[in-house]
Amino acid sequence: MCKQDIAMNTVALMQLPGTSYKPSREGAPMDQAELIEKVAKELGISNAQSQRLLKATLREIRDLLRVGHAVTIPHLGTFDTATYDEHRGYRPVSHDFAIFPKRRVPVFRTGSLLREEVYDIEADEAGATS
Amino acid sequence: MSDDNKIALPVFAALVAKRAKVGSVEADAYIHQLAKTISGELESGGDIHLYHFGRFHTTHVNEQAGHNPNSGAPLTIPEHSRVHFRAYAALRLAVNAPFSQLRIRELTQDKSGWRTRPVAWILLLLLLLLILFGIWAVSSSSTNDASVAQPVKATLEKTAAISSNNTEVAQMPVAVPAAPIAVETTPTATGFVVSPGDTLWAIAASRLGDSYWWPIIYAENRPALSQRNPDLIDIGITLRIPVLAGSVNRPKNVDLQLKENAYQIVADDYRKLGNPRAAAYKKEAARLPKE
Repeated sequence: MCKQDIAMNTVALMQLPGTSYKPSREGAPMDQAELIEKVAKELGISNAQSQRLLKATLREIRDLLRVGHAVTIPHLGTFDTATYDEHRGYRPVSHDFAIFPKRRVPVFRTGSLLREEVYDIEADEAGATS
Repeated sequence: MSDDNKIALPVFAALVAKRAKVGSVEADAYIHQLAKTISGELESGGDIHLYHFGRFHTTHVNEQAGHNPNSGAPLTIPEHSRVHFRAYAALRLAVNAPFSQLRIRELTQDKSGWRTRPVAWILLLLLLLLILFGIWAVSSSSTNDASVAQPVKATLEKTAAISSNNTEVAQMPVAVPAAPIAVETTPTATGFVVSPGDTLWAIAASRLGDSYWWPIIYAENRPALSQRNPDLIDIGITLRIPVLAGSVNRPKNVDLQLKENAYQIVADDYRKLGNPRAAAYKKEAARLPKE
């Protein structure tokens, strides 16, 4: 209980101001095995097949991002890359400012369907209509 | 944001199918179902963790004041949840591969950086060893010099006139092949068999008690020597050691006369050989009887 509180506090510290980490689901986050089983059950395929397809999907996304492509998955969102130019920034390790080199990072833009579905979690839980 | 880098879903499904070795229809269905399952999980507020890829999660955003971007009218944004994706290191590194060789540059030079470099420590250790070795070498050489420095000091006290050549005098009258010091003294009272490494200086020291009396041995044996050189004596010959009337420390006039003559002979021989020490010996010879 106490440990969980501390963990939640540390996570909450990392959030942007005005936001909070609030998992409504009990226990650990859903991991890959759980996802594989769930999808396999829905599609009526074996778990091994499901795992192979999931791995293939993730690796394909990774390889396409590596060469600079953007992948849009329907109902979920878009995986894309963003390039940051060389910039000056604060480096907490050295307690000083430093020049950060040019870098490319993966970004995910949530699809509008998913965004709208997720938007009103609390309202749904509370039973209110929005 | 141009569309030239966007991959259409059919193309992506075909790529996934090729990679997983399944039909493209099946791959397409799988992708759709995967997206649905993930969004269903996110709707229920859960997290999805995918190995070596990333994590989907939702955050709660509090109610906050905002404004309508078109009219500028203030409005209240209700509290809501939003989806986030956090890429893990494997994905980040793969995407950043073209720029992976670039490093963060500090604006102020980090002076403590050498502490993390093993090369600096190795160099420091080597330097320390070198210093220790130097100290050891200096101390050992000084102990070696102690035996040499003693006669030199004695020389300085004894004769100021030939002080500049003292060490040379000590070492010059050497037997022809200069072998390591192996003094073999024959126990004859008046004779001395020269062996390799013997010097008149050393013989005088051992037999007469004072090295500075070596010219009298030379003068005594001068006819027996093959070369008339005070610096060279022959190996194997027997040197006659003259017997003094007094002692080295308390010489009588006869002994001093003998010494003066001997110094004169040595000076003459040196002059014949063109040795610059002739002058010093001559001066010493001139000084002697006044003692």
